[in-house]
Amino acid sequence: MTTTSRLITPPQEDEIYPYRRVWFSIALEAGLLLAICVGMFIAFNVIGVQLPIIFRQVINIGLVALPVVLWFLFSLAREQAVSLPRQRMLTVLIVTGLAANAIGLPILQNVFQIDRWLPLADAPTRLVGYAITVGSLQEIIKYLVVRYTTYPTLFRIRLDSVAYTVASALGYSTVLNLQFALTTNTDPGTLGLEIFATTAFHIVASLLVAYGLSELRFASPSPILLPLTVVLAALIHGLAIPLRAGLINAGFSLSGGFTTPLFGLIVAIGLLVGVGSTMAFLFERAERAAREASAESGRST
Amino acid sequence: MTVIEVGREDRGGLTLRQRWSHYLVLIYGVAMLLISINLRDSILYATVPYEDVRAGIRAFYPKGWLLDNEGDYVFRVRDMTRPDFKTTIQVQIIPISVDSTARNLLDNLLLTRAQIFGQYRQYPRAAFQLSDESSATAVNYTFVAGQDDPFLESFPTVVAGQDIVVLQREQAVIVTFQVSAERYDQLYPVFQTFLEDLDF
Repeated sequence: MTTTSRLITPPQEDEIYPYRRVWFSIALEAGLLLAICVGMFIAFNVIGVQLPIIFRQVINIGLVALPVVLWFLFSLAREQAVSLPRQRMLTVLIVTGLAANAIGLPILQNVFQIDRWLPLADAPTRLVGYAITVGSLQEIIKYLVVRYTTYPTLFRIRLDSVAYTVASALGYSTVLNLQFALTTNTDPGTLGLEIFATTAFHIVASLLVAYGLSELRFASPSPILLPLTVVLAALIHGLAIPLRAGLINAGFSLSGGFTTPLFGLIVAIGLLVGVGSTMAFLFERAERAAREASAESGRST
Repeated sequence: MTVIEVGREDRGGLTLRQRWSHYLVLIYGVAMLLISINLRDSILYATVPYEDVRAGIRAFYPKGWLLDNEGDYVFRVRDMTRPDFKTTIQVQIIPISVDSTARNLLDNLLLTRAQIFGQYRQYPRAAFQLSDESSATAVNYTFVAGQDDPFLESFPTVVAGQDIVVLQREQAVIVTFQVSAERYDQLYPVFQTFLEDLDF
């Protein structure tokens, strides 16, 4: 009796990705935030749930904290589960929040005084004005926080820039959401949509700046690439605010005026999905180009 | 002797390109700050010219305010966008005798207004200098104003005002500024700009 030996190909070992997957976290957090905010809108504005004011305020504060809570669960906590976690994520979030409250809001309210002239200006002035004032100021503050707390030492891969700029976006938007919740007596349904839109606009703008930062760190682009991404971020952020406000606000008609908050939600979702997908594609393309360049140089040596 | 320069290449771990990118972002930030302030001023303090040849008055009033010259004044402009008291700037010319003084005029104003305005209170008068170095008298006062329309059922508003009285030949020019008291400090620069541009 003879035995024949069979040669078996050894199983291919999967390479363990040592970093947290940023895009998955962003999609998960944004999706859950959207679901909860829309749920609140349906409950309070469609079904018409009535709650005592004290419960409403508690829910409002919970809604303001929701983006950060989701970020803690699906970004920060997951960082601890990977072999190469990112450092100073919480620092970026807190410092941006403090900068927003100490610098951003006072400049907007006391120096620019946008409430006195911008909402009442004509449409072109409103579009340009929001981009120049609100958009630029917010994007510069977020950029400076990321730049001076993490860049370039903590940037090990391209997606690190996304992780840090999204953390700064959440820090800034949380302060704005808190201010909105505390200064307006709004119901949780409307507040939920406002929170989602504010958070989405900040994340979208930060993704653009993240691309500029990562290219500057890992490639050799023109020095104006990063400023251009900041300008573009400010422009998109500045345009999104009056565009959303214009779609939400009730127009005059013979049948009466009704606000249309869902139009504003569609703008926020569209921007988040559109810009998010585009930036994910650009990051992937840049990563692939870098890998191919590296392989090419390896072959040539 | 050999000079060894240490650390020249590694200034914060940044390349020249990265440093310039950062500088350009900072320059952009400063430029936007200046443009924002300029844009704010150009809209917030935008003015429209007004000229009354018969009264010999030329002024620049805030853009968007409602002009009215139907009353016993040369003209009056009001900010109709205010939900409470409409911020008002008014220019009035009163003929006076040669012996009249600013005090006579202000006493007369006090008596008239005390009958029209609720809780009218006048504060000490002070000398005031106009932009063309001519001297005037300023008087501050407060009163309580209610909405004309009783169906609006709104609370009364405390109004703060200032009269600038200039005696010129045989006439007195009274420039009046009235605004909701809580917004007085915020809007007083608008009145100052109006006074600086006022020509009579």
